Amino acid sequence: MRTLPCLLLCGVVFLFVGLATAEGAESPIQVADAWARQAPMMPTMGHMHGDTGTGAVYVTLRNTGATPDALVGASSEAAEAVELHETIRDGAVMRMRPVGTLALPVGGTLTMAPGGLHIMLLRLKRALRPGDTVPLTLTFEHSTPLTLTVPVR
Amino acid sequence: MHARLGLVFLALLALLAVPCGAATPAFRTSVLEPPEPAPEFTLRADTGKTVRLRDWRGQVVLLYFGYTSCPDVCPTTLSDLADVKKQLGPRGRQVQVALVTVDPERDTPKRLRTYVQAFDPAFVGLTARKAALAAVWKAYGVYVQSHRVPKSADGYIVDHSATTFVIDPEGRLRLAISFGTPVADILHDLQLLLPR
Repeated sequence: MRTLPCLLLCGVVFLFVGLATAEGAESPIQVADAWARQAPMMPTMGHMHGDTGTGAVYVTLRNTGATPDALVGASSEAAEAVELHETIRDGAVMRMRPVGTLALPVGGTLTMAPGGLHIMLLRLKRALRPGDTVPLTLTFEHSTPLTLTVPVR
Repeated sequence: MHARLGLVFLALLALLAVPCGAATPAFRTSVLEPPEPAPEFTLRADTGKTVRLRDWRGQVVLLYFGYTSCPDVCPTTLSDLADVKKQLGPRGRQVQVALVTVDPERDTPKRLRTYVQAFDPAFVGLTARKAALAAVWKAYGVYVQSHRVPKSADGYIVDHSATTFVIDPEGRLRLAISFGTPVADILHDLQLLLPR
């Protein structure tokens, strides 16, 4: 007797997640575990528009389609610029570099995590506080762009 | 007969070795041995006050070198340290976390203060003139290299050692925590160093 409401609930949850994370046509790119690190707004020297900050978003992408694809960029109304970056461990030193595109081979998973690949939000327009959400649009080489609502924690 | 005596001797040695081994606390992060006095410094706190390392004697000091425009490694470390402090409960008040900037050009005291307080209101940001800071980086063996990134809107990025140094209540440098160390391991080691 309990299975039916549960199934209905699951269906509603899936529908909600689908609506919340992707816009437009069904994309072969699956998004999971998107989150942004909290980031404050800070006084910035020489910055004419007042306080600003720097943030990072982590996301896991999976290409379920039949053709290779690539993440080529990202944008957000919460930041003046968004870039794909990678942190590389070199002994005790952590080096960060912008990366051009990130390949998404057929069936491949691209995992972003602290101390590795991340989407960097430059010159934030507002603070990212735990519990907030931040909109983020991912652009791909072939697939249609995906707009996510990313929770801040 | 000699062989049996040898075995008895070895067994006795083993009995002696066990309590000795147990007497040294088993840390999970990298232990710096022998414990030497941590390099002393005088820096400017984000409040504008002058801070000397010895002002924090009696507390466990966690010293991290980073910068406020760092989006990935620094906030990850500071979030983990804030989490550790929270899990320590009232004992967390005996832990002083300090961020020494590796980017004095951009990190003004006001900026440092806003940044560290987003993680924990008791965290402190430290800065100084470049030469004075460079001496502290060198004393702790911290690598700092800033470089322009033409492709990035960021202007420049600072590559830096991401180690957290742990100084015990007697002012001795005891542990080096590398980036990505689980919070549970840091918590475990701090509980061994904190005064009872």
